Amino acid sequence: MKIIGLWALLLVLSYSLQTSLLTFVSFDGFSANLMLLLTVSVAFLCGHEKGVCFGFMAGLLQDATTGGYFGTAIFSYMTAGFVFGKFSVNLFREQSLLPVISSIPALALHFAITIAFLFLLGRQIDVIKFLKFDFWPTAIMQVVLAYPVHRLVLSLNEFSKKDRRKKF
Amino acid sequence: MSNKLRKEKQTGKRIIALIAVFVSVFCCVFFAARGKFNTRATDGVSMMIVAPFQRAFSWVGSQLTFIVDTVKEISNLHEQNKLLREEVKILRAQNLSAAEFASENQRLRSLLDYKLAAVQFDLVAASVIGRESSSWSSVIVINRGTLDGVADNMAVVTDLGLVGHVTEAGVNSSKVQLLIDPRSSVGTLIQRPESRVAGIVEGDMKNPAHPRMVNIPKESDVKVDDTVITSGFGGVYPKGIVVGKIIEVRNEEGGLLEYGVLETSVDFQKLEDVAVIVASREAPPEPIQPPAQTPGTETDPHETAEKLQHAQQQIQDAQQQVQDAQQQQLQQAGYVEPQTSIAPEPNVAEEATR
Repeated sequence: MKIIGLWALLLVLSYSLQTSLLTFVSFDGFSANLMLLLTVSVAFLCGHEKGVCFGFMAGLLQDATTGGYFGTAIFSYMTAGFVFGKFSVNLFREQSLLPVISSIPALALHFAITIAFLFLLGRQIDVIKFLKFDFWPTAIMQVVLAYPVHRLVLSLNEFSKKDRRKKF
Repeated sequence: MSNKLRKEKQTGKRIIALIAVFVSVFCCVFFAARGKFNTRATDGVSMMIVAPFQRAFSWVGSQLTFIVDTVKEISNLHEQNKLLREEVKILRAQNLSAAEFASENQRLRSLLDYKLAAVQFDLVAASVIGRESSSWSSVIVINRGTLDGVADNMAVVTDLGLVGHVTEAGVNSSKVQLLIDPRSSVGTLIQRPESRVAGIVEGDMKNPAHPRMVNIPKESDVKVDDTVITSGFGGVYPKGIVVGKIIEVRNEEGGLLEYGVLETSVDFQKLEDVAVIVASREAPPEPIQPPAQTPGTETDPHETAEKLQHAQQQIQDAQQQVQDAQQQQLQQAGYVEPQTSIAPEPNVAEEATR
């Protein structure tokens, strides 16, 4: 229960940080997507099932507070958690460079899903403009913040493991 | 073997569950977009949880922004201050030159007004470019010479009054001996109509600022505050230029004459722009002004003239009618033969009028 609370607190704090403080250090109007970074890191460290679960919670929080179409963020983060969680089996989990590199494909996946949903919902989007003005500024911020976020998730994961070992 | 089967079954269930979740979420998106799926309760709870943290982080963010902005502003202030100092220097210089131009403009306007008013003089405007002032001489140099029509012995004035006369006209500059020069002598008279006492104004070596009007017979009608103007005698200075006013009347040492101490109308210490009288003629007569009328009985001269003309016309018409009537009566009585012309004889008409 304590561990779940800690993860939930991490989620809430990260989301609050993303929607408040990070907007002050936005790059060209776009700030980092901490929810996505957290989901990817959790997926890398804990596998696709927990990745999907975390993505669901992160997406739910985002959609419930500031999301445009309810479910788009949930679906996107769940997909990211599932896809990057699949790599966790074959990779060295504590490798910090991997989440940093993965932050860009994760963002690409997130944007692709969002754009696909928007198309399906009948919204017209200029993809080239979107990539030029929206994707790259956010990607730069993602790369910058990917390492500290991963270290944070790693620490919490280690703490969770230790706590679980103590219990058993 | 059974463990493996159980694991495979569990994995299969999980995959099915995952697919179900994905499909549900996928459907949720479309239901929510069409408004058929409402998440107000979830939204409210989420907002309630997140809002305090957001507020706290926003406060931190605004404080950080404030600090960063302050630091930026301080760093900019130094540069801005430097630029502003430069700007102040430039503006001060501009301000000085603007004040100078304004002053020059005012002087030239006064001179122009004088030029327009003094129609009897042909004036050439000049600026003072040199000055020599000592107790025994007061001479200025102006930037006009023979090329501009300036010649020796021409009078130099300002809008306030007489300055002096040209003593040496060069090609493009001239020397002007001021009125206060001890060597200068100007034929003058008192402007007051009752007085009109003539005298000579000459510079006083002892008191260069106040020339004297000499050769005034004792007991002459010369009073303090009398305005002194040029008399036109001698041919150098045209008549009627203001020289100054009497501030003191003193007796000469001999006892037969007296002299007046003058305050010149021109401030010779502030002399910058002058005008040289290159030609002068007699002033045109002043237009005749109608006499002052008694208040309450004012009449317009033009209106009166029109009325008079109208009345005269009416009288003429009446005279004509009377003449016609008399002519008819005379014809009826047989004294006069009927005439083809309507016009009566002048003597008859006059009599009839009488």
